[in-house]
Amino acid sequence: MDTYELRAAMHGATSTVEPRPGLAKDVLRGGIRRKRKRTVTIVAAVAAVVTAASVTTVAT
Amino acid sequence: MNDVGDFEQFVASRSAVLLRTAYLLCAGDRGAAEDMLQDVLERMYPKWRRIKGEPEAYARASLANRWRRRSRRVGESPLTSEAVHPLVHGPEGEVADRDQVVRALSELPERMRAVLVLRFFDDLSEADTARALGCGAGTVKSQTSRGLARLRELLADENIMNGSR
Repeated sequence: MDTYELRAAMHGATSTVEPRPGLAKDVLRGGIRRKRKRTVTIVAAVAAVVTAASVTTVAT
Repeated sequence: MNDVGDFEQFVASRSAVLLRTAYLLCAGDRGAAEDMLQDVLERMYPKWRRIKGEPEAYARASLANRWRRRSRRVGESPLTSEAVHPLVHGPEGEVADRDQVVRALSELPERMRAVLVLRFFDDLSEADTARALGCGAGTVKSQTSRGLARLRELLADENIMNGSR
């Protein structure tokens, strides 16, 4: 088997492989969820830092 | 068109090609390939606006990277041995021939398989393959050469076995 045959065999072996219906919607839903989670994490971290800084300032 | 629309269009138009790469990387484990692709695309969404260059190249590199990390984890590694396609008997000889290469790929060590898939299925250059897999170009060259030799042996063995039936 040369590389041309391998290329053709791999393309032939995957020619019937198609994504399931609804994959695009699932991906979009998952992506939005991940983005929201990331935003919440960042906001929470910033809030924690600000709170810690203000507590330290008040204490001193 | 807005970002969401662009991204959705990208997923709809390119997911079949990317799934085929994932399918070969996972040695014919369709479920693992779909999970991996969905994970990679979901991770791409928050970064969509910041991706420079071709999104497909980015997705392909992410897929290889995700697959590489996934393969290191025992619990999450593709079920290569269980995923091997069963032999197809009867008039579906053409299907059996197509599955032959997937079965042979599943017998190869993971990195060797990935090199062959990225080089000859996705037509990546040696440098791009090396970058996607996080190894040197020399490794890609040697793995390609050994991989092709091993694949020839495996396919020859399988042909002998099929011929002796």
